[in-house]
Amino acid sequence: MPVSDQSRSGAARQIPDLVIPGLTVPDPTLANEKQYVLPEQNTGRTLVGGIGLPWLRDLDYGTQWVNRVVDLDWPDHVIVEDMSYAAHRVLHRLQEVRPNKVVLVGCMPRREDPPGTIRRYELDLAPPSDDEVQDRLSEAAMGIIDLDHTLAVVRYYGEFPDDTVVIEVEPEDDSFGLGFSDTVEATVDTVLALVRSEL
Amino acid sequence: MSFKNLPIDVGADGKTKIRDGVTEPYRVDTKPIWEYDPSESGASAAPPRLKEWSIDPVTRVAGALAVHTTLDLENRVAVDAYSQAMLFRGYEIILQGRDPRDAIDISSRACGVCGGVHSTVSSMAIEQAFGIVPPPLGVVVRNLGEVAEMFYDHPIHLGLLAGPDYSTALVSMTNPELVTLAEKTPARNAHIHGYKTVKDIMDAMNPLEGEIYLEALEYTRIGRIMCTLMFGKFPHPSTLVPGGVSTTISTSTFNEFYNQLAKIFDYSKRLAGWWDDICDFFLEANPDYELVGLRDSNMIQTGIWDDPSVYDATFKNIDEWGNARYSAPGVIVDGKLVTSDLTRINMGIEEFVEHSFYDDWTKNGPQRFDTDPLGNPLSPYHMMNKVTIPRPEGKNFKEKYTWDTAPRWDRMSMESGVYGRMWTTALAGNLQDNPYLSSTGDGLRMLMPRHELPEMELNWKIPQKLNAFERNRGRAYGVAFTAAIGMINLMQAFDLWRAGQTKTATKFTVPQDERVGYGFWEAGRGYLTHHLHMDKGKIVNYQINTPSTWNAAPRDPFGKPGPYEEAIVGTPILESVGDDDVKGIDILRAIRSFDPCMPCTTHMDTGKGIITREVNSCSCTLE
Repeated sequence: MPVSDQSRSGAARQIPDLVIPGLTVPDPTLANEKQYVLPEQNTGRTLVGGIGLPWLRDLDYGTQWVNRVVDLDWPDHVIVEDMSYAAHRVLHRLQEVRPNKVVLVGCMPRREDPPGTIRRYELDLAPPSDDEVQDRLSEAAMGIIDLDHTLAVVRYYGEFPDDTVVIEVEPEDDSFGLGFSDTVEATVDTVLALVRSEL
Repeated sequence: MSFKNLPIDVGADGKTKIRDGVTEPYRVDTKPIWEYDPSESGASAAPPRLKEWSIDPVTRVAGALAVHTTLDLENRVAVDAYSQAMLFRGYEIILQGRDPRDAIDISSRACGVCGGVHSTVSSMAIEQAFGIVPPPLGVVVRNLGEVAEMFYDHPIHLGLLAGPDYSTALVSMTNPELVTLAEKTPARNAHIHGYKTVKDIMDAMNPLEGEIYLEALEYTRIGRIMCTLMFGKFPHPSTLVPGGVSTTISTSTFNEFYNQLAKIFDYSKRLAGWWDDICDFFLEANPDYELVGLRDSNMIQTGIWDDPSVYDATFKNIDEWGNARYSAPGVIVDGKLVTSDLTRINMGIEEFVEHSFYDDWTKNGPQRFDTDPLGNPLSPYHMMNKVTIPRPEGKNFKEKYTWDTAPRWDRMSMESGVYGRMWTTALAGNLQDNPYLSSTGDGLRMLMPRHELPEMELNWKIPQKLNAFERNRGRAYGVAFTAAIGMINLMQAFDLWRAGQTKTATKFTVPQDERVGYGFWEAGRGYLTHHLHMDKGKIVNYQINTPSTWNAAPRDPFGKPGPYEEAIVGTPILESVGDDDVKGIDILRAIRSFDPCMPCTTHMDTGKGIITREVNSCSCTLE
């Protein structure tokens, strides 16, 4: 099956500090103590996350792929989990885990490759524009799960580690239901091998 | 109470019946839709500069909402409006024929913000149908989880969605003179929130970078943590079951919950403070802001957060446990409480599809349910009788123009929201004595305990007029309202635990005979009902009705507009820029003040039992 290697990019810009301002009381006479302390940045962890859309066949790939592989033997520093949440929730999770490497797995219809194509790309960490992030974050805040929203919002706030890789599969069947199309089903082991090669 | 439009009489014994002699009580005589007519205001001709103006999509709302308006640029006012929900979901179709328990998980996906309310109300409809009662701690844990969910919902709207409309970044483009004025205007609540001038608050509301924006994003984390403590997972918890919750609970669960709730106490003090300052600033700078989003004070609420000593899940006692809720159910007409009885609320509800992309199901066969389980009359247009039949046809606003339906109570257009439930709670006067929350007769008093900020008493007054600013102000105070209810429930949880009442769920079997279940609860935005009809262990019909179904409703068969439409008509254009530069911010403020939640999961029935695409997780409004 075809495997492509590429990158996705965005324009560079200054990004604000997300966490600390929100959890301090603005009046400095009232409290100076920060209420939330982020873990160390250099944890040595690798986070393998699946992002899927429940009950939508191939589009639920990230979630179902994680369900299949989570109980396999993984090195101690590897965390494998379903990250099928809206973008800001993923952002918060990354702030908690503080991985040195992230590998995201999902099925995304790009309509540029045949179904079953596996794309592997290293994320260009340059954040997208304010307008794009605001639109995506507004949608994410209302519960929309979307890999591209996650990539844009988390990049904007600088919470992806330098070493972030996305492994996408081009879907064939996006109808309501469980299980994958045969074409996408055939990618499961290859994606597993690709993910292991990243560790 | 008596109904004004439906021919339902209420006897001295409280029993209701169709008025004697009325043979077609729910007859619908359709009328042409209301449209802008300059002669209504005494004008002899249309103003010279009318402009058709469409916003599609309305951004910073969930899902696909379009608004088509007509602006009178001569008089700088919106004179006509149509609200269009552009996508269809289809949960009712997905759920047909399934095990009723599936509805808890599947219907939960109706919304990604309201990640637990659909599971909760679904489990309540099912427990009523199954005839089981959750143990007291199960009710309290459910309450606490739903308290937490509001701490996810309200900050999102106030900080990320509506908030930017009042930020320096946006106001400087539409009304730069207000930014200048804000710079010179001291913030009255600076001693609480720390922002010295109104301009400082507006700066903090700037999207993506402002402190208030970022803080709201951060508080969604706290809401999720709290919800996860009670429900194991958020959104879409798997622990909500008929008869309670299956989460493993211990005293440390409650202690951890309290640690987060204490942060909310302080957040709620500052939130109410800066929204008071913002609302007062705009309304004092230009009293015409009072007209932005103004409509009659007509609201419907279904109540939320049960008293564990009263709630028994039965329809028989629905008025008793409904009235015992910490947030009262109720119907408000012209600002006054008409009823707080769920039976009365329920029997006045109808859902029309005259201008929606559906077929009228009433012509397809006999009415399933003439009455509720207590014998109160039900309309053929009630959700228990509804069948979802998509028909995306219609070429103009006189025909069909939205996937939303037109729910009405007593044939009146109603909105729902956080402020609505505070309104009903203040007027119903049902609150039992407690240290944290009480009705003052014209509002609510909320005592927020000390955390880093000192203990504070917050007083929310029922507004004289319901407009965009009062919706947002009410929602800001709603965080304290919810935190107070959280504290009351937390104390109850400790009491129950000390008394050894640690059971959180009741065992059940799935009945095989014909049953119905009415789930009444509230989402962040208000009204929420699930209606279950089951037989032979399977779902026969399942209907979901949400707050945005009410708020975004189109014209009804009688031609009357829905709440968004009513709120836009009459909204002035107060921007101080020329006609060509008008951004429509006041119309957007009017719409966003409802906290619209439109569909994201657009599952389309293709006729083959297959549902196809545009994906995601949210959709409060649509079928």
